[in-house]
Amino acid sequence: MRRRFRLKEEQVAGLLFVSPFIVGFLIFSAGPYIASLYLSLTTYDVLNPPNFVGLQNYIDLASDETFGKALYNTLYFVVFHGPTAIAMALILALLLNAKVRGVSIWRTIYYLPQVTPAVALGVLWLRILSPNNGLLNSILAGVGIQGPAWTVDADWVKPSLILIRVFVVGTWMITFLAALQDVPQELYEAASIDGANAWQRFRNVTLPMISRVIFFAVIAITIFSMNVFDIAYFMFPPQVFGGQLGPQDSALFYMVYLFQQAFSYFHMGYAAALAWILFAITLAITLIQLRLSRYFVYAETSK
Amino acid sequence: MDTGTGEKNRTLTRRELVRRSALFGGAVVVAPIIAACQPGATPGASTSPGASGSTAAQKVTIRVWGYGLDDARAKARLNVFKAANPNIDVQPVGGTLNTQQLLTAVASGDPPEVINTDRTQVGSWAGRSAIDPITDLIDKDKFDMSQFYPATVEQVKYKGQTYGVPHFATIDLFWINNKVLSDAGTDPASVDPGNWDQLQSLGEKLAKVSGGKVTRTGFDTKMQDGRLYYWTWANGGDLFSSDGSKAQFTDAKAVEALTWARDAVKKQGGEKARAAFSQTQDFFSPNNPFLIGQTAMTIFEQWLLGVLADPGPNFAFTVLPPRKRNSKDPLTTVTGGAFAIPKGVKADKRLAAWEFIKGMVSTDAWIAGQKATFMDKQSKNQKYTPTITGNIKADQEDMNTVYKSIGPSYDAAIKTWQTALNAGKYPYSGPVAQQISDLVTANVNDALQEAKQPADALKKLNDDAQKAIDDYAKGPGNK
Repeated sequence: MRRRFRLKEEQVAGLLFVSPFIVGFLIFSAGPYIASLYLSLTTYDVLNPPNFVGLQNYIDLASDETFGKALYNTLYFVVFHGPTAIAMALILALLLNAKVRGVSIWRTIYYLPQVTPAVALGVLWLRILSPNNGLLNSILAGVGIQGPAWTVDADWVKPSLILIRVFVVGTWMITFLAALQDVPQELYEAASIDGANAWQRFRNVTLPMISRVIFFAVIAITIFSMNVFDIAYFMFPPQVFGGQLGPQDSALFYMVYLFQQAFSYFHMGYAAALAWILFAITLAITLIQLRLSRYFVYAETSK
Repeated sequence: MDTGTGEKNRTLTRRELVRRSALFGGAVVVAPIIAACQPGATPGASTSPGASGSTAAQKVTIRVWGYGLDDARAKARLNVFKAANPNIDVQPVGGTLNTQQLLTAVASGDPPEVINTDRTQVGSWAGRSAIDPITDLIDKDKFDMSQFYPATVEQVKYKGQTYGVPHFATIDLFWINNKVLSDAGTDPASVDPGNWDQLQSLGEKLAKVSGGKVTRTGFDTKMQDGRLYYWTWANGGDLFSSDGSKAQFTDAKAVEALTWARDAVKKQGGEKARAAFSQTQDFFSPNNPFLIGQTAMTIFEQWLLGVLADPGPNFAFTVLPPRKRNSKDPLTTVTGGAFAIPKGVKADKRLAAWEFIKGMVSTDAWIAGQKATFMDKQSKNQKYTPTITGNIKADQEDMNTVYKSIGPSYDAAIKTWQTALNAGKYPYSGPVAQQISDLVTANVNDALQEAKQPADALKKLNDDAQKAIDDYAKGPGNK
């Protein structure tokens, strides 16, 4: 006997609950996604009809030196920004989790960079990192270190951007703090009774218990880093560096290059191909991270 | 609490709660969408013919993008136009013209009636059919284009058709800080902008560098900011064929110019040190680097005069028209804006747009604008310096009647403008102008930062520029 497929009542309810996203996705996102996939197979400048060229845009990417430079800059940022941002957020969360006075004030102060517009951050940090009279190099000079030319030396531009973003971790700091406060106190008590010191309690109790949150942060920060745009564009605007994003295009990130191709040069088809390649790379990295998560993420299951 | 027994009729079960919440949530999402799809659903929307555009009294509304009313000049000019054209209602939208906004407006068939765009972009817009030629309108009214400087008129042409009307002009001039040179034992009057050997040696002599840090730039070629065009022209070369279809960056004259500029900055501490020093400077302030002697000599645009006037009315400086190499002949770069009419503008509105353009660039409108600016500055106790409008007669009237002497250096500087304007050339303004501009500065900076040899940087620039031109020729949007 054939069984008719019927949704259970709770399945219907679930679908209705997620309907705001589904409807929004279908109306505002699905169309542009499909259109961009098609446009990536065309040459298109918005004003004239798209011209189908098959995979030519993807083939051209292989020989595009600037694409390679933008991808390298972006992966550099991902590799170094991700771990430093997570470490900073975790350290701040651990400090705030300690029973110190005025926690809410500290929390607000550390959260401030998160809500500061990227333009303001860029201007502020250009002053701090100014090679000749910036605050950071003045401090370094005070302890006998000659600071680098952060903003004009191509080798130091990306580290300076990573340094700036390391202070913009307010959201993750709050998330980690919530996770820390969720760790059952009895686990610490049990560990203490067993003679564990502070480091051992952190290593064997805290880290495993918040590992799922850290893993989520790793994925989210990786995706954010792949899409980094604003801070590079505002700190090293092409108008200042003569058409370049920082000296020798050292701050030319993937999304900046994509924006340039689409809206400065009207290469919409090529830009669409760039977007899909970025999607594929991000998806691949995320899948690898998911695969590796079984070795690092503590799963609390009841069997 | 749900007991799971006969209390279902009176007590909300968990399942019921879930079901009702979900239905409510779904309804919240779907209802506005359904409502929005109903004809005439948008509150305040009107389908009456007079809601926008023309009215029964044939009043025509035109939208002008890239023209804001944020200064006295802009307001006064518009008032002159409005007084003469009461039947045309102008809706200006300020700020720099938004490329994305214009593209989508033209693509959707609802463009603004007039745009105020950078002249280097006219070829880009024209090549992609985003703006229409206005040659027919010029011919119809026998509109005199010779009222504008020749270089500005040439720059708004594309494939033999005129696509815009010049609106403002910016020229490069040669600036000398008299005191810095005199203190170094050099007579400012002895400086010859056409003598490259002198410029390089003076640059080295006047520069102050210690511990790898620059504290004074002797001579700034501004090569890092796109001046490859000027220095190559001055050296007798050109970067493009006359029709703009062939890149010529490997021209020996261009290589020589870039090598000379690289050496000039190298002798003054190097490009990195120069860039680091420039980041400490506050250009739009009483601490302007040229005013306070942090820059001894430079090529820069004429509006620097306005930056200097208030903090330094007694400042002694010399301004010369830039010259061809080893020659007294003037030569400079002229850039600026243009009014143009986008594609898809309806016939009646196109005529109104044309009236607006003619009115706004008329001598009367410009002089009214300059006088209003003068009064505005005077009320704020600020100095007035002329602006180059592009309209030759308006500029002469401005310099002769509106401008009031600030000091001998300022008066002499303004007198050089006419000479420079008559010897103006403009950079590549074809359909891939933005791409070429970015390529020029990127590759030039690679050479200045000594990441590449000048000849190698220009070879790469030539290849990439030619590819951009050829790709465009295959069809718009080609990469």
